[in-house]
Amino acid sequence: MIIRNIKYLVLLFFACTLVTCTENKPIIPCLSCEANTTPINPETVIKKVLMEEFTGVRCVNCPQAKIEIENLQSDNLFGEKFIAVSYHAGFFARPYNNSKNDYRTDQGDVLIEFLDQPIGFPSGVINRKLFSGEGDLQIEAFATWGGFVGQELEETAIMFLDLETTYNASNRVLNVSVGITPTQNISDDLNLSILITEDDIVDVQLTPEGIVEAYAQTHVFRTMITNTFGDPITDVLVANQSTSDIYSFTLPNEWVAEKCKVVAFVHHATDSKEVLQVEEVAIIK
Amino acid sequence: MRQLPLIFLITFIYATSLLGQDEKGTLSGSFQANANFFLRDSTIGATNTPQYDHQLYGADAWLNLNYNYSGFDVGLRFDLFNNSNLLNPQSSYTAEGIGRWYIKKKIDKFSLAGGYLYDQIGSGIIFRAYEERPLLIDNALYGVRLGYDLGENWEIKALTGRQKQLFDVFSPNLKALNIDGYISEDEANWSLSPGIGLVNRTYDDATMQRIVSTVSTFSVTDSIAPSFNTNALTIYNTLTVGNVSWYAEAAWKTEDVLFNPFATKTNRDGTTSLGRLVNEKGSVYYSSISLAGKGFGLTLEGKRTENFSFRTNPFVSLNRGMINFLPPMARFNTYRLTSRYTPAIQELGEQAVKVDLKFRPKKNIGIELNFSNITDLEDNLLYREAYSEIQIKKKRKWILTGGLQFQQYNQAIFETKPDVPLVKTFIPFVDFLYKIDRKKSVRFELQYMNTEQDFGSWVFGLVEYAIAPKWTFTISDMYNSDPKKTDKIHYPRIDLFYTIKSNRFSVSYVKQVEGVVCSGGICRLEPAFSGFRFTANSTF
Repeated sequence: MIIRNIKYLVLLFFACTLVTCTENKPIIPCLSCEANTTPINPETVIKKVLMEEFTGVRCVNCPQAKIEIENLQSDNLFGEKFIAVSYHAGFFARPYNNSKNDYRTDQGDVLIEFLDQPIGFPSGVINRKLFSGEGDLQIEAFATWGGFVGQELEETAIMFLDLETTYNASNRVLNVSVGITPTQNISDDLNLSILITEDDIVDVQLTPEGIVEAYAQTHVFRTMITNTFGDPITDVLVANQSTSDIYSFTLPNEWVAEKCKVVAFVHHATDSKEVLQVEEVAIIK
Repeated sequence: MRQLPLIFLITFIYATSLLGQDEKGTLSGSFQANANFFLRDSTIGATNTPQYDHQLYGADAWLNLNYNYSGFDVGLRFDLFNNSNLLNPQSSYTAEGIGRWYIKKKIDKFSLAGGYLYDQIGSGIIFRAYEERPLLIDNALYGVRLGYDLGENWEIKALTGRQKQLFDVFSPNLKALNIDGYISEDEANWSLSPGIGLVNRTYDDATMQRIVSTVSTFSVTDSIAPSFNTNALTIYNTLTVGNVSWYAEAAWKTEDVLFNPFATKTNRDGTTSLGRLVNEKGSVYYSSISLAGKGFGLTLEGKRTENFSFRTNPFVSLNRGMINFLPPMARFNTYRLTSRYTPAIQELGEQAVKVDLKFRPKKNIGIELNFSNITDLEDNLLYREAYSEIQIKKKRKWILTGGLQFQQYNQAIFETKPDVPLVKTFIPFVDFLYKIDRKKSVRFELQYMNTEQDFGSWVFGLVEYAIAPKWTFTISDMYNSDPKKTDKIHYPRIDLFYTIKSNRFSVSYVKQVEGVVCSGGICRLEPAFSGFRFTANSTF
């Protein structure tokens, strides 16, 4: 009886080995083996990807996420094709008593709801796209962001954004010109969102090594120039025909214009919120 | 199309009612509903979620129906989430639909099942499809199961399918094979219950493409070679000799892509940071031995875990996409303050021992002693608990329970808080139940947590008055008597329970303290709760 039963176990063991047959593993492209030196030609339509990160000064793992963003933005990886915006929003964004400023904004609070509250921090939304297998737009595991970005960059760009700024330092008035040139006819309901970020804001941040008082925050979301959910694009988007809009905004005195950038992106305005194209320029070149 | 299971079930019940005049089918079921009415209270942090800001209400409900006829067993469950905070305590989730359906049939030695299936292999270390509603864990396998009786005491089963993800499924495929047996001899005082199981997970092309795309951003030194297939094997056995029972299980997993928040990553500028995908083999060794005698019980448990996060894909975190279940090694505490610091299971590495001793020096006195010690694989302390409890009974009159708990809790690891010391607590507690008469009873709880760390010391008191079998009324308060982070705040709670036959209803007013739970480099806020709560539980 026992022998017969053991026989079954042995049979099972051999059956088990069937599923462990050698498989053909995927080939990993080595992006770091040779530098990605393709110049970004403004005349060429290059797909760019937007990462909207949700962060906070009390989020201990967020500095690691910031390093990952900088890593992905390095010239020999995605470079300028990867554009990041960091919203300080949610529980972990409450300032400390000795924080110089509160980086939370009403618009950030609205957008964290609009883009699905992350289940944990840090978290990022990539191109506002619901990727297959994901329950919502938020991707919490920052070490995997590069994969999503890489996948998005493989998509063909269907429009070119011509983003230009002029800035008057005396009255701090910023003019933003956004030109949209689609490569195909587009009849979807689309919105244009334009926002301002600021780099190198030095303030208190919780890190894995403890609270750091002089921590440099980067691509901090400051404000939307358009409506929080973007302004509807009312022009008919016809292949190779450009449309443009101009926006004006006065920079508050406490923002350092030299550290500020304008980010513009076109995105779906229906059930899908997916970003089709994004562009970023510094306010002062 | 989503209503297909419902149509099938109704058709099946109707058809069988026409067919069988002699044999009647059995319809049974259960219903569970929770409704929360949110009252904003910024003093305890019950704020800044959609429910507190503008929705004001949230509900979750499950209606489960099972029908058995002529060896067929079919079931259907309707799930509802209206502005629910179960999925994400900081957000609002609304969806409803068929959360589960299944069909099972036994034909001679074969057992067949299809639909959303709950099952496990061994203690669940390599595979456990289960439901845990308070955490919105529903890891049912959406697939089929084929079982076959190999003999009187042996069964083999095979499962294949995909894991449920709310009202959808994850893309990777799962397969499992399991043999369970029982060996003994007539009138022998020993028995063996051996088993062996295997689980295989195969990534779909899209998941693999995403992994490849992620790994391609790594430096050459950090690059990994992921496999489409990962296998996990477990061998387990329970040996029973007289009143001694010894369970042992060993599980191994082939290389699997995991997110390791502590792995060093080399960045493009040559600097390093923490957190990247790794491709590691894993193992778990778990054993428990129990000795039971007259008025005496001793259980020893040990576990060692290394790289045994086993999920549908490496992009999910916290309690999402878990294929397996690692048995916790800390005592399951039920009192409010003794359960405040509970260690989260460390999937990537922990080793733990637990001792539980129960004895009765006299017929009316019961004593329980428990010790748990959990460290990482480098022997750094994660959690230590010493627990003692004595219970004295006066038959039909009163029960007095008292005890002490000592804890050391590594908050820096469990909650990813740098520079915080070990939380050391000392908790005396007492619980006194007095039976006024045959129906009425009153119960008092008093607990005090003494600690210099985290939020500081707490006091908890509760009074419960019950009129059997229908009514229970409780009032309690948790109060931070020596706060380190906040003002002194009361967290009162009032509950009214009504039970009639197999139905139980409750209405509560709750103020509940907030907490932070971290796992795998992701921290999740468990927000404070302030408001009214209604629950209904019914079986029929």
